[in-house]
Amino acid sequence: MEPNDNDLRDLLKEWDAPPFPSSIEKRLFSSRRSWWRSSLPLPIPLACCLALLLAFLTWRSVQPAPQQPAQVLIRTERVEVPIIRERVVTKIVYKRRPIPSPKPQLTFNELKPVGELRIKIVRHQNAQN
Amino acid sequence: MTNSELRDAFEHHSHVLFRYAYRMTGSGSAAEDVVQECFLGLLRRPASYDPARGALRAFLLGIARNLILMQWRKERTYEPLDEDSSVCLPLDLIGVERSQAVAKAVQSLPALQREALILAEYEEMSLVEIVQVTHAELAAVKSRLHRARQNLRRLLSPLVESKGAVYGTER
Repeated sequence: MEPNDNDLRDLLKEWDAPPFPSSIEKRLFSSRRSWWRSSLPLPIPLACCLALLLAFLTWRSVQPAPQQPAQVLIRTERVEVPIIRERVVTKIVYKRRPIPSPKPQLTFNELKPVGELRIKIVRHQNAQN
Repeated sequence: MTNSELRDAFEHHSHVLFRYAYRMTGSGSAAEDVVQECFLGLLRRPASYDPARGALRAFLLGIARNLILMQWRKERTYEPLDEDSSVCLPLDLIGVERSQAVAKAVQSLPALQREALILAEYEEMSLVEIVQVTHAELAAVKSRLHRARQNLRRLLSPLVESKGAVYGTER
């Protein structure tokens, strides 16, 4: 025989849900912690690398620094040095130019007549060549 | 959303959400996860809740429903979530306690029928409220409820010998 609506309702009420777990409230509200109290999930390899780096930096900072050579004291002094400055004077100098000698006058004083006169005829055609 | 508002919402609605998620999933730890995710969702996107569109309870139950159905689809990739699988196979209830038998019967219902029945019978929600939670048509909700009750009557018939008397045990 099938149960009617009321029977069914009564039957259904027999299945109770378990009591509400208080852990939900803790889980939910603990996840709203302030940022300085919250955690940051990191992959293990990255966390190892960071830890090693931190250890190395700490070790290095603890180590005494290597000895350096004596420091050279550098002192700066001001020394006055006389500087000779050349003075450039620009002057116009007029130079005397040599006066050109006058042309010698042509005279026939030393002209002597030739003893023998030889006439050579030069052709006009050859003369051109 | 402030911390006090969230606490307020938690105090008022967490129990309903837990019961609904527990009855839908059949697992306490899964129900805890669902409740937590619901409130975290509200915390992350408080603007997604619009009071004009319905009560906060319906909104949170809607989130829980989506989470449960998402998980259901992940676990049962090849099982359709439709109305066709409306007839449940008979259960072996011999030697099972009454409450366990009821739980078994409710959980054997198709998901859409199960959620309608849980909201109506256990959370005593009206049809309109169920429509708000499930985003389904009113007729569809009515039909799911009707088929869920039919299935349960059939599945749980061995527990009822006659009106008022219970088969196999004494009340």
